[in-house]
Amino acid sequence: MPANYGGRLASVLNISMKEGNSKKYQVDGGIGIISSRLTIQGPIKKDTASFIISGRRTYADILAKPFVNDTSPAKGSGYYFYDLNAKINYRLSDKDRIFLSGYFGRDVFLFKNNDNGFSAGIKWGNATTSLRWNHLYNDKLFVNTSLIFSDYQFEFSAGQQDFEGKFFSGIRDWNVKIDYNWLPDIRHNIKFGLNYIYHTFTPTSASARSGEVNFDLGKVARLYAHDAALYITDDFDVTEKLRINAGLRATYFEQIGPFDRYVKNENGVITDTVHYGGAESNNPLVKLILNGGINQSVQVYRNLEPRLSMRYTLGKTSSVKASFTMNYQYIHLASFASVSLPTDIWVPSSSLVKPQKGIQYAVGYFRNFFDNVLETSVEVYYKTMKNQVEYKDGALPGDNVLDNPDNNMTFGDGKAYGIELFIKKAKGKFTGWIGYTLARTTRTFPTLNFGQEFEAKYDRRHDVSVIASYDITDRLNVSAIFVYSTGNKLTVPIARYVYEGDLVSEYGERNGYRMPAYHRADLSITYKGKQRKHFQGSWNLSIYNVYSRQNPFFIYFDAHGTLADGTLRVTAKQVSLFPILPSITYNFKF
Amino acid sequence: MQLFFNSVYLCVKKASVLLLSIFVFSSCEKEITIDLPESKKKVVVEGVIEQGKHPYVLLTRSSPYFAPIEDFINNLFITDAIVIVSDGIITDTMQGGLNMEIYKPNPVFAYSSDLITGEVGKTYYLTVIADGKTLTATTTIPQPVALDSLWFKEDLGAEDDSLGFVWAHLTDPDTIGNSYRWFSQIFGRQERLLPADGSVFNDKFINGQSFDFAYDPSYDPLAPEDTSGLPLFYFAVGDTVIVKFCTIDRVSYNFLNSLESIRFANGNPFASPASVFTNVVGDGLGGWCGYGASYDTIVLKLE
Repeated sequence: MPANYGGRLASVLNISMKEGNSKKYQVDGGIGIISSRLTIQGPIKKDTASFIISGRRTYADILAKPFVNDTSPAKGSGYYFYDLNAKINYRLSDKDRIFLSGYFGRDVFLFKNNDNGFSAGIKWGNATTSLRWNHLYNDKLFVNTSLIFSDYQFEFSAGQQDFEGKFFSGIRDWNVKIDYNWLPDIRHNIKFGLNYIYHTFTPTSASARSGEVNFDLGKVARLYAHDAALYITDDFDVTEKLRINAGLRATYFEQIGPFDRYVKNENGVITDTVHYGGAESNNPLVKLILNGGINQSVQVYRNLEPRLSMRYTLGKTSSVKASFTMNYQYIHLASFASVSLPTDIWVPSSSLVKPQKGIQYAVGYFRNFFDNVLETSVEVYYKTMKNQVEYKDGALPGDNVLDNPDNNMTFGDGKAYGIELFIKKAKGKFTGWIGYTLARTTRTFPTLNFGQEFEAKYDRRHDVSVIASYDITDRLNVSAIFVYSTGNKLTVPIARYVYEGDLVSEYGERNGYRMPAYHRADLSITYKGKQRKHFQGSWNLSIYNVYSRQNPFFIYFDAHGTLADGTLRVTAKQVSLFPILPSITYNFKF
Repeated sequence: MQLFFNSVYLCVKKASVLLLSIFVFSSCEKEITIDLPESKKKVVVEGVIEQGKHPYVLLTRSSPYFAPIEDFINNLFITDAIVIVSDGIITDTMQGGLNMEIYKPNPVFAYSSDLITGEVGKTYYLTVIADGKTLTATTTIPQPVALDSLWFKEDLGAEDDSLGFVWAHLTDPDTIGNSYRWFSQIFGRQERLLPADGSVFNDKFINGQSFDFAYDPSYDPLAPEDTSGLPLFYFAVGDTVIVKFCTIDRVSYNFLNSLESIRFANGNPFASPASVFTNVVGDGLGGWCGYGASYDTIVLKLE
């Protein structure tokens, strides 16, 4: 990972949105059985300004309807997803361009039980707006200045008759970025810049009422933090054969007030509250003005992150790459359950939660064959991670209410290593690639699993993907995908006992059980209609999960019968999400 | 169905169960065989001491998760243990025997002491020697806090207005860390006092406040199917209800609260896979709990 990226121990996916067509209007879309999409783009002012807007919507809710008939107690339940994307770009001059873009996406889950009037809804999603100014000083130096706002929200609500409860969490960021790119000569590509993010976290807040009575679940607990970085990186041809990318990133993270630290005694009773002052606001500007810029500092972290990677060319068709990366991550995701859910919350580094630190070493050998028709590579990596975050054994989501979430967390280290093999055919009628990774990921926490090392939830021993595509004719293409990965690790009950006449489960070793492997094949056939002057249509027939593999999404344990009359029976059940799913989509473009 | 207390906990618990049902309903599900690691049998302590009453202790064994229920039941009770209770001054070896009262109408094997009687403010020490292990536990009986009042209120959502919940008014003392447990019994329909679903709560959200709350009837996990014809989740006008409202110490609260959470989660993948907290020291399970109890009886009628 080059020094212009940071804030994560894992990799960064750089996604850029395409620009609207500045010459003419264009519409493309797809109408399918499971989802539909539509994109419209075109010039606002020819060769100066253009726009692009696109949206998607799934209809899993509509699909589920036939199975939920009108008399079903679950009528009104369902799930759907939609998102909207828009971008406008404007050329101010030959040297200045402005981009304004926005994204809005929501997942909605609804559940109703009409028998007892219980209803629950889960909504989560992201909204992002960004404004970017691209300025060219000359053909060797340009700068991008961006202002980005992003807001992730999760809300869970449930109600029954007079009673209503609500849970919400989220993270809201204001982000300013200035990124320079300087090409002093043909051998150097220098990038430098700065980045500042103002985070507002809402880890877990709740409200509940019964009729007219509101329960005191505390005011909405927000956490605030400054997150800043300076970086410089040079991609540099040392010799004809050796290319080095060296960089340094200096990072600064500060949790600021207002903040209440709840101090607990050994029985978990809050005995004291330490208050850090500051004005309450989501908006950094408002906060600055309200508070004269003085928010009491809770905790500060400063770190240097050196990055180095090099490529040495061995001949015309082969090269060796090696890299060293040190990263710090200041915001942490903690999950309660064995399944990843939108209920997983983000928390900032604090006096208890230390920044996560990752150090990775990687070496790879790359070689092409048959006049570059076949590309192959072998890479090995080793990574250590400090200050990983998990919830303490037995923590409950409700524990976060009226408490600091990090009071319920526990910390430890992690390790990951593996080897990746890759082969790709990039040219010809038949193209495709095969990737294989053999890896291991472990965690060691003093307070979990008796301090013994355990395999992480997402420890994947084997991971295989095969992608193949064949052009039968210019207009007819078939493609196939096969993926295989070792199942996730899970903590399962190993024993049960009776207390007060009821059955209780006792859990075994942390992540002591591995779920069955995930594998699946997909097929797709695309037939392009004749190219017409203003219209292009194509039919796509795809089959997801061709052999209808029941991949484990999660496993749960079900008890039937009663203990008293000896009919009790306990079984393990595996739930899978999607069986074979054929679908037809008509795509068009005009 | 529960109301009010720890509303947020319950809300999440309930929703995660629903989430499960949504997934199950919208996807495919099959029974699978899981090879679990071998688990050794552990001793489970279920000990109770209440003010004005003699203590009792049930000792049972845990069983491998998928073991046949017959094996589980046949090896359930430990009848040859040495159980010693002490209040720091008097120490007594508890006598084991068949007991018809504790789990009425089900007979159980229990250890009891006639020498010791629970007193408010005292600490009680338990030592168990069973299956080759020695286990110890300590609990206290806190000062009871009586409910200010109890009444019946119909549930407007119910099918008829004779159904509803038992409401109570509680004034929580202005000290942090008070913990409570609610038991109830409907005369004629239930033969003993039973803890309600979500029976424990503490004053985390309500310290020093005076407020109303409600409970639905307690559920007996050992009872045969209810043949009264009355809805399971409601009290009915005409019922006579005994309420035992207890104070418990913080350790008992931690134990009972985690017990109820895990019992509720019951294999649910959306709940954190956690083992129940125990106040039993040694390689054992369960709890030894002191109760500062106060009793009320009401005949349910519309106001």
